[in-house]
Amino acid sequence: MHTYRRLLTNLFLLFLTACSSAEQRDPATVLSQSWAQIEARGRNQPVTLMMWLGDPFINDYMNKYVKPEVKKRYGIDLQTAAGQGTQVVQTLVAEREAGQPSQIDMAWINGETFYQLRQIDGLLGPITDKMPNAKLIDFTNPYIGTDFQQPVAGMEAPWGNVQLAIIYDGKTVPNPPRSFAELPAYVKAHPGQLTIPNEFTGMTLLKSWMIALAGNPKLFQGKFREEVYLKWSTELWKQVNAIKPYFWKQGTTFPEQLATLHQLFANGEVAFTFSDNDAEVDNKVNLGFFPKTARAYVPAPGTIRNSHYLGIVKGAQHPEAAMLVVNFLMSPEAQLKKMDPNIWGDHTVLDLSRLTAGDRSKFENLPTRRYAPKRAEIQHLAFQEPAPEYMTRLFKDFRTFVIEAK
Amino acid sequence: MNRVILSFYALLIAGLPLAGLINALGYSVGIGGPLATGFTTQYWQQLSTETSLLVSLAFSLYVAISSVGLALLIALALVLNRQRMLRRWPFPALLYVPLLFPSLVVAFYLFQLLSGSGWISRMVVALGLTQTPADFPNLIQDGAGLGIISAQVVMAFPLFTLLFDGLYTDARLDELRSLTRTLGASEGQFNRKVAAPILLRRAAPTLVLYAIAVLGAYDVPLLLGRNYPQMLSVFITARLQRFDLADLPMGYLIGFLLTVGLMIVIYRTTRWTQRHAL
Repeated sequence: MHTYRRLLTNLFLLFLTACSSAEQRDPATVLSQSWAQIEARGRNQPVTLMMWLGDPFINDYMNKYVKPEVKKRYGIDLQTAAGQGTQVVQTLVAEREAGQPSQIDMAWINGETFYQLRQIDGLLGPITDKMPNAKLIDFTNPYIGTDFQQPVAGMEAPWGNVQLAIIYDGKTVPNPPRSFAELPAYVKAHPGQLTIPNEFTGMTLLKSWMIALAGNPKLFQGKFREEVYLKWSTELWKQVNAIKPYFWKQGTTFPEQLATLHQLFANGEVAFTFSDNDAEVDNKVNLGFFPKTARAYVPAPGTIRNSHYLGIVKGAQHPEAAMLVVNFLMSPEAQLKKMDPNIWGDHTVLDLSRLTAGDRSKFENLPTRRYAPKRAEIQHLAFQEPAPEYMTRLFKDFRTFVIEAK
Repeated sequence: MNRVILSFYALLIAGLPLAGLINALGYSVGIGGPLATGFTTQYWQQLSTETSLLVSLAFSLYVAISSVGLALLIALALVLNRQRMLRRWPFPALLYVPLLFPSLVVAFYLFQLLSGSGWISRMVVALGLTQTPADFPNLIQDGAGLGIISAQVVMAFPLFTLLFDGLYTDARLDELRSLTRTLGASEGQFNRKVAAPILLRRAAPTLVLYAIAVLGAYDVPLLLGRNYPQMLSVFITARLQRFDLADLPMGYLIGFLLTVGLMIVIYRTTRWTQRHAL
């Protein structure tokens, strides 16, 4: 009986103290190490990557290629945990408030999360100057070295480069609107075919539309400007509300998730969907989820192009191992695999001119996109991502001035 | 030994939720959270300008009352009028079927069934009753919350039927029925004036708790509801997961007030049923 009681008491105490048993690492000490030291210390460690797990192609790339590769090369046991955006930020805040090292070592992030993580000083860095494969990246490229108008400054590592594309079904839409200027007339003439997802991709569409309306993308470069936002968002809401009754379900509701819109598109309930990845249509058709008649394009005068990144958490328990994983993910092998439209179709962040002739040739000979526009064709149709405040304001105002408007 | 178990139980049942509540209160007055700058009442003062919150609260109450009301009417009708059927195979087994599915699965099933491109819509088009799927009436993501209410009723009425059936046997209502019939009461009078009040009063705590669960449901309204009006849990989650960290205090404040409000409702209901126990 005594043994049983002691066991139960110990279990109770273990439950109370479990959270404080992890190791707290000093960021300065971690960053002072040479790459050789990082490699030595990072081997045979577990790494937890928090990322969006909503795409089977991306999950397969991680589970079937990246995890076995980092295990083989470094003995790293890479685990992925579901979470993105504010979930990452709130997890880190809660851990910090509890005085605990993080259960997350690294996270897949983009500009708005980068902005929030910088606000709470949640990222370890600068890290890219340590990593050999970062030398293959051109950080002076504004679509890579600047994230939502914030200099990356080594605090996150570029992973992929994408551009917003409109996806349509060529069977029901033989002549899609080729520009934002044509969009309102098209929607009025074809009611119920289009809607705007009330989430990240939808907001990227609205930002692109707003920049197109302004006619001068440079207005949205640099820090957030209230007067620019007010002027052009007002114009945007005027246009959107004028065609709201012609949206799917007469504009009485908007999909809360992109996956829902993709589902509506796949079922034929709407004729358009959107993707932040200009090549996504290829893998969705290959998967059999979208019809073979699905096509993607970038409307004139352009859409937002940006990069997505990997950040290492400041309170990470295995920062060296996380750096090894990040460096591997930026390697020509991993980037090549990821760019294959049959694998993921995510455009590389590597500067091909910095690669060996052999590696460059592999990138140039990748299977071509069949349903998505070629990168060379949309090179001149790209806008830089504006400052994060444009996104937060548009998201709030879309609800106030469109969703809740009578 | 008992004290250790009791402490552990108290920590799980009361301690952790209470800690969460205190944390939410801390966020709402600016002393917790990523961008906390010190004590402030600004979020409490801004509460009066949150008209969407009132709409959301009213919509959630409407959905909860309608769902539980419809489900209990179906369950009462079955228990009071179809006693024989309830005992005849396969009906008792079938009642358990909806209870086996998670709410998200039921919501997804209804989505596939009732959406514009759903099975019924396609059948209606195939039969030539409508021209296109878009002509099918809005049964989900509709303004009246019909999709959400349908899903909640599908999940609730079997549970209520089983509950009422158990109470019916416990209260020996069959004997009471014979007695009232002997005294000259009609079947309807027995159901309305004797059986229903006894069943409802005994089941009241469960019904209130179920209504609170519907009020706080997330996955069903997320899939079957509209962006506006939204049910409370979807409304609050949207605030907590927005792109702007400055929105967090208001999200936590609304969550805090809702939790406290529901705790008061549970407390008052429990007291009321104890005083009026049958």
